[in-house]
Amino acid sequence: MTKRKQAKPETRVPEQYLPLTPAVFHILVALGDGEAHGYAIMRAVTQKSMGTVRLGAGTLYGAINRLLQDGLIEESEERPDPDMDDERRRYYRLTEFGGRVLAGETKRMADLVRAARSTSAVRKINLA
Amino acid sequence: MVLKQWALACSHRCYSSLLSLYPIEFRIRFRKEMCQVFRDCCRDAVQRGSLKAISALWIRTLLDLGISIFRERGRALTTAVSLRDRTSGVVESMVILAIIIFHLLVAGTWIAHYLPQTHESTGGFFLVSAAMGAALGGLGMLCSVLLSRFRRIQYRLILF
Repeated sequence: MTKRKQAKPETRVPEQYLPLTPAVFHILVALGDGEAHGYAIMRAVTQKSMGTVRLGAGTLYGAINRLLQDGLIEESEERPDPDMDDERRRYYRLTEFGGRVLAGETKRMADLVRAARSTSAVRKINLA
Repeated sequence: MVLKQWALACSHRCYSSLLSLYPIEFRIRFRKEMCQVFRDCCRDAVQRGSLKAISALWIRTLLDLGISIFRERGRALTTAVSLRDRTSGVVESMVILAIIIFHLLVAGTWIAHYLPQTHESTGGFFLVSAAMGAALGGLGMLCSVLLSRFRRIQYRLILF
């Protein structure tokens, strides 16, 4: 993999990565509670989206590749349960900067939802 | 049960082969993990109890592969064309420039050949230009093949 030159953490702001693509957002949410391997991420995304989002392995690892290059996630050396696990699996976790990007995107989406709820069209439906 | 085992074995083999369509660097990094994830998905489908579940998994997988292979190939090409790496920036520029000149000169020669000639020297000029372009293009192609071999960057894609 050609290493993409990462910007220094102090020069980066989370806003430059926003808006996130749905796949990336779901992956960051799945990693929000701790490290996980690819299949666990895939299952967490399906569960947390109540089955509406199903990531394929290609989409998942394409997104993981970009997130690793951008420094939003990193590979974890620790294994939660080495005895129960296959050593071919790699675990990933959010970096501190990745957490800030996730928080930024969550806030952006919350603001959007608030704006949408304040429109008369949505209020009308909610009242009915 | 035997049929399911056979379907699983075939599925793993097919999936592993299909991963060859990804760019080499992506493959080196993620092939094992992707195979592992696919195996887990197959295991889940079998636990759900039917060959229909495996078929559904395959449909989803093929769609996902189609999209993601196209995207990763595009990214590999973009990475190859963009001159981020300073050490190889000059060589990359030369390769791209040589290929562009080659194609322009070949196109120029064809146009000159089919247009009515106003000056006698025009044809000769374009022939010499085309020869120079071909030499430059050949050099560019040689560089790109060597680079793609040693640096695992997919310059070859630029040529097509």
